[in-house]
Amino acid sequence: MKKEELVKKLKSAELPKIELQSHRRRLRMALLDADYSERQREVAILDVTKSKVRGRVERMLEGLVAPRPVWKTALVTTLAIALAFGLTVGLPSLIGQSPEALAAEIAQNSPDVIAALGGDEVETVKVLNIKDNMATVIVEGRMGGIVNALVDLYTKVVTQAVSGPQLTDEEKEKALSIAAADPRVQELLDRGAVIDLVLPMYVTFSGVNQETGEIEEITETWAQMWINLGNRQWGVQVDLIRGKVMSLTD
Amino acid sequence: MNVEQERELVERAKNNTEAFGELYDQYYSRIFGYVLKRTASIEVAQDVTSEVFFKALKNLRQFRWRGVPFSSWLYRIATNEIANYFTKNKPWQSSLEEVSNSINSSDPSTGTELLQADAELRRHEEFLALHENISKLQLKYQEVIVLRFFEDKQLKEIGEILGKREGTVKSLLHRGLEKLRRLTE
Repeated sequence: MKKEELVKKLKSAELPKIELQSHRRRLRMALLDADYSERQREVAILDVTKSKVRGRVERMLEGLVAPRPVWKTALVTTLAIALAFGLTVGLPSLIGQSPEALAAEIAQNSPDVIAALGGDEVETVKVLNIKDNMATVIVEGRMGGIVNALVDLYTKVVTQAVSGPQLTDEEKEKALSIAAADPRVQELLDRGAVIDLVLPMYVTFSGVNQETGEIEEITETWAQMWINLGNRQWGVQVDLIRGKVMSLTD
Repeated sequence: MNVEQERELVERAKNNTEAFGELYDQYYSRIFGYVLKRTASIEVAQDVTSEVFFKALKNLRQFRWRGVPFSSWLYRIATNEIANYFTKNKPWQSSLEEVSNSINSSDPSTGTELLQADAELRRHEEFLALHENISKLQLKYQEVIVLRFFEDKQLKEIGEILGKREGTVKSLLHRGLEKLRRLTE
């Protein structure tokens, strides 16, 4: 074949114009959710930082600058700036609890959460996300009970505590073996990553009812797990019915 | 959307979730289509496209306008992700059987859509035959050939996407076509 013929063939080939609306929709939702959560987390941290720094500077000025000669004003201002700078630089230790730690503490001590666990002892607490100062927290009991709690970080109370889906030990084992068979997960595990937590999750999607042919909402229970390697964490969603890892996000 | 509008949208998207959604709507089809033409696999195209947009979201604030359109930046991420995919995996060959096996008997619409998409892809025999030969070339040749002929990009734009000079792209294209020609004989 001559080069010109090949070029002609390449230019005239009928190309696939395929779109997967379900993938497009799901990915859009996942992206916007991830973006929104990240922005809210930044805002929450920034709010705490600002109020702590402002509060400390204001208290210092109130206490020190009453009847003041000019040199005192200059000294106090310098001290205030130095303090503000110090607070900013040494922030983590001075701020106290992070929003995540605060949410976890409120959730695990909440009478509503303890009641929803039905007498089960709290074993693990995981903060999934924080939006508009509302944290979604998963509390897992020693006996396998799961509670999905919504924590208001302003009022510091749990506004909702709902018992979630449960995974049997067999299902957890199955989720782990499905994940371990995934090459991407395998690679992480080979690099020394550890699976932190295996939790159930509800997944709702549009599906075709085989009897009626109608499209309807289907809800399934999948497994969600977190893999940690150093400071990085990956979320893994495992479809237990189809036996495959459906997403792995950093 | 003209360049100015695109630039304004990108700047807004750095601080606004909905604006990022608009960018996504604007480019999803093109990126999915490009990855599909590079991999000839619906499933891989889904995975790689997802990675591309998550990377774009993560790095959007670092994106600076230096005369290179946003779309070229996305194509560059996609090209890198495809290269990552090829270096980690053997060329992926899908079949209707494999897709069927991967979905549940309850057959949700996502599974049906996947089957239909795969069947549609299999219908493009001429493309698949070309792809089979293109996929035997080194990645650097695959990239320029697909971008030039399947994505209809000009040499300058291919250079922007690949971070190469126009002359280098031209020479890669020339050599790539020659190798492809020999393969098709």
